[in-house]
Amino acid sequence: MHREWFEPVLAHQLDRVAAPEELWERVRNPRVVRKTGVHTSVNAARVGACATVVLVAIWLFVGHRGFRSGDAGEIRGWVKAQAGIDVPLRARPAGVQLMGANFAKGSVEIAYSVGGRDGRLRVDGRHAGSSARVFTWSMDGHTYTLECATPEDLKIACNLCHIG
Amino acid sequence: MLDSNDREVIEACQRGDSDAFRVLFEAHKDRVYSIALRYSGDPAAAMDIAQESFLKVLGAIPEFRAEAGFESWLYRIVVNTCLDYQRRGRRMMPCLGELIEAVSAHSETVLHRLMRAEVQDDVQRIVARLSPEQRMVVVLRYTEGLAYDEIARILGCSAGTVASRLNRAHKILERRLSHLRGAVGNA
Repeated sequence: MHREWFEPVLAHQLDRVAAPEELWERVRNPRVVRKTGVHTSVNAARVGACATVVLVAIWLFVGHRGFRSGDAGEIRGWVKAQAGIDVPLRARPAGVQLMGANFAKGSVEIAYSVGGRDGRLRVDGRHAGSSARVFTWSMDGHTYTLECATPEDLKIACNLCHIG
Repeated sequence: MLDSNDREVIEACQRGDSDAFRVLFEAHKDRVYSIALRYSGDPAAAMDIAQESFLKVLGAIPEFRAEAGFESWLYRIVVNTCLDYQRRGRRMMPCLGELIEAVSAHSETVLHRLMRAEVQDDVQRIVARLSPEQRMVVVLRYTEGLAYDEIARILGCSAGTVASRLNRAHKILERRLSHLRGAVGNA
């Protein structure tokens, strides 16, 4: 088969690399704070530190709070502590992998995946229209919005709080 | 198809055996991280994507069926995580790590390292400017060395679509990498 001149360049420059050792720690304990693996100069470190301070300030200013966990109990407790809403998540929702939660501007978002595709459960006071991929309902004075990549995922995502 | 060792490890993972998951992780970590790095062009983003991919594997492995190819299943998870990460607007930018490292090095090989880093940075930056669909095909083809029909299975499209995306990507890359033609010689 004919090969273009740049194909060996691509194969060489895009070659597989070794994963950093800290990856296992991040998988084993998803809440571990990310460390940068790049050797930076002193100036780059200073710029990075300044940027971090600015980002943290912006983050605090807009009121975003996030939590990463795959554990339903931890997420439920965190959401209750942050937003005062008790979302009745099941301990082991079949076919659904919990990823974490966010709380911003009075709205809670619980992130999950179904078959490797991302979805989210939003709980707030706003009403969002339902569609084949989005389902909205009200409970205990809160509006729940379940959003998935496909209509089939939506059915599985119901397992977050319900059996079967 | 799975060989008997892989099958045993996956079945143990499905029973919740954490040692088996570590074995699975060790076997596939470089593959997962490399796709994430070559797609995102950013080591920090690659770590996020790789972490999220393995968490998805951990969560979804009870539903994995042995008759399906594990590697294709894993590739699909990584590909979807890369695309989701970009859709969520997370940081993706060319990899500058080697360039910074070369600049901060104090040895006789600084110039050589700088040139090497520059070529890699060029390639990574140019690949990063491809559309997400074209970039993913390029990564699966050149980082993983996959055949068109394998890429098609992972992306859920036809081999013809893969060939077409790769062809369009080749034309763009050939034009944008033309300044390297003399530099790389018969590489």
